[in-house]
Amino acid sequence: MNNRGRFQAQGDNVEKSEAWAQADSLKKTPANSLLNSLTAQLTHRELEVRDIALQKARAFVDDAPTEGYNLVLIKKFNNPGVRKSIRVDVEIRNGCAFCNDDQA
Amino acid sequence: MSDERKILFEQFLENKNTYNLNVGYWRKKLQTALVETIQKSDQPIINKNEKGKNFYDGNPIFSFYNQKKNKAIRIIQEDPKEILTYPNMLLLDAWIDKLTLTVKKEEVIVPELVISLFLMQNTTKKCLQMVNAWFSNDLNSSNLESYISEDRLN
Repeated sequence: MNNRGRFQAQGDNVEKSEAWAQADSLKKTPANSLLNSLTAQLTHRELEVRDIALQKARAFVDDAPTEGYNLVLIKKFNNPGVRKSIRVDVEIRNGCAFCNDDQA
Repeated sequence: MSDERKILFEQFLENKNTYNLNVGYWRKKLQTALVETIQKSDQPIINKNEKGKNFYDGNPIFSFYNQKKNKAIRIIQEDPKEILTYPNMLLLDAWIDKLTLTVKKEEVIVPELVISLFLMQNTTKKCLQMVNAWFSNDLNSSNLESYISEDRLN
């Protein structure tokens, strides 16, 4: 699979993720669905310290250029005021991700 | 506030020239600490999009893959405004991750030390100590917390 990556909630003994590995690039709507699935995996307490981090990750996906990102990319997002290791990671490991839904 | 705790490159997120100088600061500090010349090809995460446009977000501000040691580091520099709102924030935090890289056309998984900090002289010093300990195999997941002392602004 040429297009791979993952969203992860990490830190403070949490290691939960939603990954993709597919022939086509990951478009914005399915990327947001994966973020929703990751959110659903978190307990109330785990979410409380990552809710804004998840919003930032969602904004990063939504704000990607029309053609998405085609490069190795790792971004870390946090809630403000929270220890930085308590985070949400966005990783593009290979290929293209976060292109607009109408892109080939 | 002592000089050691003065924020360095305070405007790095607002001013692109300051940002570029800030990246140069890390290159120089790391090259001196590691006694290595760091080429662009040694930086696994460029933090630019495919059109070469820099994200200018400090996330990460610098990355380095040491092929001889088969280990990587990533340094994330945080927005200094956050410690004005949250003065009890930990000034430096770190974790160990796994980075997937393509080396000589083969995919390899490389252990990566990630350090997230508010840039001051004392956090730079601690960061460089940790990076050296990481590459000399003195720092690992079992003793990482002991390197991250409770260093706060207040």
